[in-house]
Amino acid sequence: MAARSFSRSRIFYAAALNVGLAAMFVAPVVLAQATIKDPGRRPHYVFELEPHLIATPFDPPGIPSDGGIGLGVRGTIEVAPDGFIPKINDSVGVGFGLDWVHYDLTPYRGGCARFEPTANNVPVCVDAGGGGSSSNYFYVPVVMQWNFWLHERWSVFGEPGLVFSHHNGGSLGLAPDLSVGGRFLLTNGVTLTLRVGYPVVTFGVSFLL
Amino acid sequence: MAALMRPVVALLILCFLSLFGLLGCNSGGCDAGGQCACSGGDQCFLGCDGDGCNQACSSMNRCGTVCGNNCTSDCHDLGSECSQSCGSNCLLSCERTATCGVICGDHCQWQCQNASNCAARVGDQSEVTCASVSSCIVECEGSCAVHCQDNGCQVTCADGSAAAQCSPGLYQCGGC
Repeated sequence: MAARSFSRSRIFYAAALNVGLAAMFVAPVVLAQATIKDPGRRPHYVFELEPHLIATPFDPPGIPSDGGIGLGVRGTIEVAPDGFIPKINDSVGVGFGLDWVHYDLTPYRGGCARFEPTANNVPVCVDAGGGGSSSNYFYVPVVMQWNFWLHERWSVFGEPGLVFSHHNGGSLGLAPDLSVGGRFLLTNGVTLTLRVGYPVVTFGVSFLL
Repeated sequence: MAALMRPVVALLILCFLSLFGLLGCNSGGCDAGGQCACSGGDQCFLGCDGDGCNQACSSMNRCGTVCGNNCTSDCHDLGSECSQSCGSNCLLSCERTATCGVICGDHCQWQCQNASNCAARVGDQSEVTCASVSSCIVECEGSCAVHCQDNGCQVTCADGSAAAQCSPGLYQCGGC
């Protein structure tokens, strides 16, 4: 029951965060001068370099956890400066990156810390990591980034894609990567960038090069 | 504009940092004498903070239970494998699973049914029942009894010798 209410709280949290983010990003656009209807009125760059911090409440693929924290970097190459829709200020890029996330595995519900072979070499878990073991994941996301340049200082994006994962003691995995995010232009070519989605939530600085 | 930037940046940072507060939460464990279960998903390994837990795994790919003494554990309908390890006086079962593996101590009772591969290492005075299985391989570390009606049963005693077949379907270490 505890696990179920925690899952609900995660969903509620994610929903609240998204509503907050949407309000945060949309409100200034409504109140100030928008650029969404002026294609090309935005910072011009060919490559976005984005080092970031990671904090995610979500489980890594396949293993229950209490969430994780980490570091990463994302690079995005602009491939369609005019985007998909001619009449609005959008652009499209292809993003790739490397993220390291340290997860605390859920006590008593995590991965197996140690196996021993029983008869016929069948592996039997003899240590379930009850003390709250941990696991380190590496993610390599490959995504399409669709940007909407809403305001002189604000832009938002959606990022569908795939993410390759690997964790210590495990094999290579593949999972969907789906995020939404926003940028706030601090100064010419430098933005604060927040990304919310699965598998990670990131907060960092983008350098529009 | 600078006046607007400061609260917005602060809010963004607050938003992000609030995630860290969430990360301190636990979703509950299996305390000594308690009951816990995993169902659905890919894999799960349940521990027990001591003795006397009642653990269960079902309807997932891979699952395992780890416990001290006087525990019960049931695995059923797993896609790949169930592993169960336990101390003494445990009551274990595994059904409708491809591979069932057990390591348990003395006075252990294990039932393995409707499985392709049952494999166990059990302690003294333990009792194993294999039914509707392709193979049932048991290593006894003392005297034990293995009930096995199917072909593919192989029971080895602590000294490495094969267990005596005391009657059709009954193998014992430590004499009949």
